[in-house]
Amino acid sequence: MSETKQVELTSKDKVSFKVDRDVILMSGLVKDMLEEGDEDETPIIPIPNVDSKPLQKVIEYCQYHHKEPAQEIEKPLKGKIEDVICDWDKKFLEIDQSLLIELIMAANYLNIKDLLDLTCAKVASMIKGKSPEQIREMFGIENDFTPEEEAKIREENKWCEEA
Amino acid sequence: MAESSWHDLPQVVQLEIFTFLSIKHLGKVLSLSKTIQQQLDESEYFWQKLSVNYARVLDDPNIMEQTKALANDQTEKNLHEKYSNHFELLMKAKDKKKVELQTKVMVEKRRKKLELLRSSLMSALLTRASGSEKKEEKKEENFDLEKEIEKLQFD
Repeated sequence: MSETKQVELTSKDKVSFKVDRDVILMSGLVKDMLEEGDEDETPIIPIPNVDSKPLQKVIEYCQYHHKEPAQEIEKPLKGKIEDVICDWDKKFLEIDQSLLIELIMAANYLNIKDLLDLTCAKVASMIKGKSPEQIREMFGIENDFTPEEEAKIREENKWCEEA
Repeated sequence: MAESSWHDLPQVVQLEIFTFLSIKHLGKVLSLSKTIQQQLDESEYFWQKLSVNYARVLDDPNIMEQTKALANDQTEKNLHEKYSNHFELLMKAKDKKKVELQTKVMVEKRRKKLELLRSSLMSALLTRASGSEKKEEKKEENFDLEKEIEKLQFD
């Protein structure tokens, strides 16, 4: 019986994770690295841009979705993200905002398109139904417009709200 | 360890997030900050992606062609203005398609109602003629058109 090949990922904070090669091939970056490297027993791949917490979530996502491919999230997003994703993804996204941002960055760096789409759609869903002030507060975005400039932009784009 | 926030996200990812939103949210997003406004105003990728999303939902090859052609149109320097006009066209096409689909649904529902009425009458006549009852098979309704309308109902 042949054993499943594994890969060892080392996070930015030096935590190691052993993952099945088939699972982590969902990452475009890891896939490229494995194709370039030697056929080691268990190759060690450093992931210097990602901390252990988001990396663990990435692995969790890949372990589930390499067997259950994610459904494409349609754009523009209809309703809330929870209305268009599976129960497993809903549970997976029950994380705090800081970890969500880290997860987006990890998905982007590791080149995992489905995970990037899921997490970006989650943020887009959080923006929906909120005023600019609430969005700024939620994401710590500084309002550098003068009240006049802001009013002018809102006026120029008023037609969008009727769309 | 410092908490990660919006500012840690690469610009390309921030744009990707905004492409999940409908045009309705555009004014709101543009008024968040000068940096975001500038970022959006300078990104052909963002405007093109937003247009393609709509063209895809409308499923109209002509609109898709026009949308793609817009990317090669260098006559209008201001992306915001260039695409705003196009979006108005997309909105009109969306409303038109919605009305067309709703009319089709109405006509289809009326047709089915008449068909049902006709078949009940026929069945009653046959029962009276033969003295026996005939079982009628229930047909499943076709919800394709309703699904099409649903596709256009994003907020």
